[in-house]
Amino acid sequence: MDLKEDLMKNDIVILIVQKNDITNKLVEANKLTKTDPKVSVMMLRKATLDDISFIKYVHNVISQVRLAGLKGLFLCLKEDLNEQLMEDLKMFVDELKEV
Amino acid sequence: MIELKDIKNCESILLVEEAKSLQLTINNVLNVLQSKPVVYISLIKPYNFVLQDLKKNKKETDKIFFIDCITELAGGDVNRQENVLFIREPTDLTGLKIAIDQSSESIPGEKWVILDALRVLTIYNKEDTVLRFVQSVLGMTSSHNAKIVVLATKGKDESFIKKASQFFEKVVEGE
Repeated sequence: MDLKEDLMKNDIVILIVQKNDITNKLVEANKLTKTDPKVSVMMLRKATLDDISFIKYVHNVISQVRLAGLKGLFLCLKEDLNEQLMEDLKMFVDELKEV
Repeated sequence: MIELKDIKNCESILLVEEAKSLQLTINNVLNVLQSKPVVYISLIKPYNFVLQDLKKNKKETDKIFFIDCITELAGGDVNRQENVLFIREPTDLTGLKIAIDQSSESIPGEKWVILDALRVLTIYNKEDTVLRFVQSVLGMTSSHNAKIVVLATKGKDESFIKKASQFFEKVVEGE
């Protein structure tokens, strides 16, 4: 998986990651911010939010990243998402990747 | 992929597509409507990014008037700009209705209104409220010689799509 290439082609990318892989992916993603100051990395956790509040929150964060002229690389835990949330996320991002 | 050749002949059409193909379908709709006046209701992303995508795809954008429901909510610049009206947030359906009314009234002759994702309205509003909104917008656009194209995503709100379908002249579902 080449995150750098994904972010060259797209402005907003969401990575769906497994719990046990989150640290590796975060380290890999953070390296990109060193080479490209326009890349913003963020971990999105649903925690206690209901589905609608979560998707509204994600929609707002993505819009803010776009308006700031940044590229966004967001990491989401697979266990936080269900089928409908995945569909909704696809609508807001340029690329959604399950790793 | 949705077959779009009938768009021009329909007063109102609901396009139900996979979320991941939505952007492509929007581009194709605009391809079909090329050079026609369009009122584009942007609910997925700030209007200048929709505009940017269209320009990247070499689409003519001179005759597109935007109604942006996202920029203000995300704290962006909403100072008066040409060819765009800003709505506070997607919950402001009254404001959105007034904006559609004013913009379609101000464009002479035949025009198209495109709403880029019905799903966003149901995320921010109750389903019944959205249904009432859709019904009233459809009535309003026909009185302004405007045709309307609404895009919806496939998903769990199938029953909502079914209820909304009854208001449209034609419903087309992507495979």
